[in-house]
Amino acid sequence: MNPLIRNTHTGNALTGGVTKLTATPSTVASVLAELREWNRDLVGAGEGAGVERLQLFAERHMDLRDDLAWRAARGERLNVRERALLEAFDAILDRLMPSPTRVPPDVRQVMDDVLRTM
Amino acid sequence: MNPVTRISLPEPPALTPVSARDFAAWLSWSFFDGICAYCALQSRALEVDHVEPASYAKERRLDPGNLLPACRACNGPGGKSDYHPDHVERRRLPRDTTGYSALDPRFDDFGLLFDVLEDGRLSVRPGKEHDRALWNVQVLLKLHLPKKVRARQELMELRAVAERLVEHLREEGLDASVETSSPTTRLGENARIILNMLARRLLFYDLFSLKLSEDPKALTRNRRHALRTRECGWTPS
Repeated sequence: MNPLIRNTHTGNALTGGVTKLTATPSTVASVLAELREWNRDLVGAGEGAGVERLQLFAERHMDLRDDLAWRAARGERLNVRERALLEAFDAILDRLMPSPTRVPPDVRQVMDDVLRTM
Repeated sequence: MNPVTRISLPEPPALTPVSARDFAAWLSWSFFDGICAYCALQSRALEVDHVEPASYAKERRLDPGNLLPACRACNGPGGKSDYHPDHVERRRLPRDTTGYSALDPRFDDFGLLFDVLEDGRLSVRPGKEHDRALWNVQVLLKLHLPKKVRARQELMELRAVAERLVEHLREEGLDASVETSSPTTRLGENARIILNMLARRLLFYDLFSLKLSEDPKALTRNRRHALRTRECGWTPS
């Protein structure tokens, strides 16, 4: 549970139940700062590095990311910080995501060869 | 009313399963060559996903009808994880009150839900399932992330090259099928390599209803069966 996300009606940190929530500006700024710091730590790290940390992070903040992503997908305009948070989160998720199997280099070479000769 | 079945899986093997992993070979065979059921891309290591999470449906923990192969990206904490419409974490999202369900290739026609663009991006088609499909792409499975997009782009390129190659072979009066294309010519050898690769990714194209002008199954039928039986230790009785 993300203690930074607060019930907008009471101002209390969530303890469960279904309530109407929103990502407050201070929540977004705080998580964004944490994400940027983490992103710096991972620069140069290999694929899959930091997976355990992602799991921990996901438990705490994925709901916030998903909320922003869904708002953006529905066409709602996000402010600068919200957009930055979403982009930073997605960049980290992409980096940690195991790559799907790509077309092997030798087949790519054949494809290029075919396209050149036809 | 039962949903329309898009992919019929063969009968699961008769065994006394101890863990869901016992069905891994059957799922691998059914979905062909390491294809993830959610993103339809091939991955090196697939997990066995409980469509209804074990924590919400304990009685279906070993039910083969509740299992799908999924890559770590789709099934992990950045993806579906233990998603269930009633999952308390999900219900905290103010706009996620509809309880959308995760994509399921057995019942959802990906070709009706999405267009795969040439650059690998998914475009959600309008219709009554639009919001659910969009939510799956952007929120739950995150199919918009660059790694997935690049992999799809490569497959679209492969399809386009195969299309041109088949057309070219036909103009030359040659047979394009994998089994009979002549390996003695450079074109024949190239056709064999590309159509083999296409055969390995055929389910991707099937799921998104992407067709070659030439029937890809006719081109690759025997090869597909050979791949399946060689790469998986289990075949249906």
